[in-house]
Amino acid sequence: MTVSATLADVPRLAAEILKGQIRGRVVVDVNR
Amino acid sequence: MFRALLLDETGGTVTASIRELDDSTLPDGNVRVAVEYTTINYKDGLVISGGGGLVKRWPHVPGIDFAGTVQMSEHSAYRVGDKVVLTGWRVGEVQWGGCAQKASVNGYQLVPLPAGLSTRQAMAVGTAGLTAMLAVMALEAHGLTPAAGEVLVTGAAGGVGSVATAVLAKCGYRVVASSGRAQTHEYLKGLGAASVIDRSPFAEPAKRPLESERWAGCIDSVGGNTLARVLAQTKYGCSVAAVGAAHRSLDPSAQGSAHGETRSDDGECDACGRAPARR
Repeated sequence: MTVSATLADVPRLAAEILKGQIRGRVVVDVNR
Repeated sequence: MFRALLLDETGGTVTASIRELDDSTLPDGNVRVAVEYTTINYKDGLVISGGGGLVKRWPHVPGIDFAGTVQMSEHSAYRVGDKVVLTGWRVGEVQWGGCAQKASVNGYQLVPLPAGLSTRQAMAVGTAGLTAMLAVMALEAHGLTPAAGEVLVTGAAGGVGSVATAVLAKCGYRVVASSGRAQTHEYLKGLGAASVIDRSPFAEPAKRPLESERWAGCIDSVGGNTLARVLAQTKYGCSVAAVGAAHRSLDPSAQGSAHGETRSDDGECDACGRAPARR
């Protein structure tokens, strides 16, 4: 249910979540 | 210095970049947190895209929730080294949020990290998980039991929907998950959904105010025509927890025309950030 991401991934993932393309939860490690 | 995802706006266009910022740029607050994890939610998508006009002051740091360690505290409830969690309070919208290595907030906005959870686990739950659990609790507070029948989860493959599906299934409910993506069906069954149905029929406007009763309860994170159709199909005396407005085109004529009741449980609308109407 949960996937990991970095700060650099956030803009892309933000666009995807608005399109309904994100499955489950995305946890962002801000130190990566 | 700290690293942050900084948003800026020029001529209506929002740009995002990772920047090194001085601590002096942090907003006022009586607790400073070394952020470890944040999450991505629908509202973050709106904020980062500039949609919805949610952010009024630029530059801005998004991130509606976070977990981390207290670095400085002038609040009596927190000491340096405490592990803390923040969800809600319109953080990441009207004040800088969790997409940064440091955050400055007010102590009343924080809660201590629950014993037994890591900061990452707390964010795996996050705002979406909290919303889902509040919705389940609200449905049960209004009489829902596993014996009542099928419980629908719309937007089931999303953050709130995934947690809602898993929690309801674990509590013994027969969960019907609605999704528009065929590739999520196995995922949803893996979370405990008894069946998965296509969302398309829910998106069509209702032809009549009441339809055949089917749902003993619903957790709806879509809104719009979907919510209207769900309300029309909800069993007499049963309830719907409406926790989002991703569709953003709720037909006012549909409200109050159903067997059940509408309940909003996440404290604010994902789309507009306003507190929802409550009954």
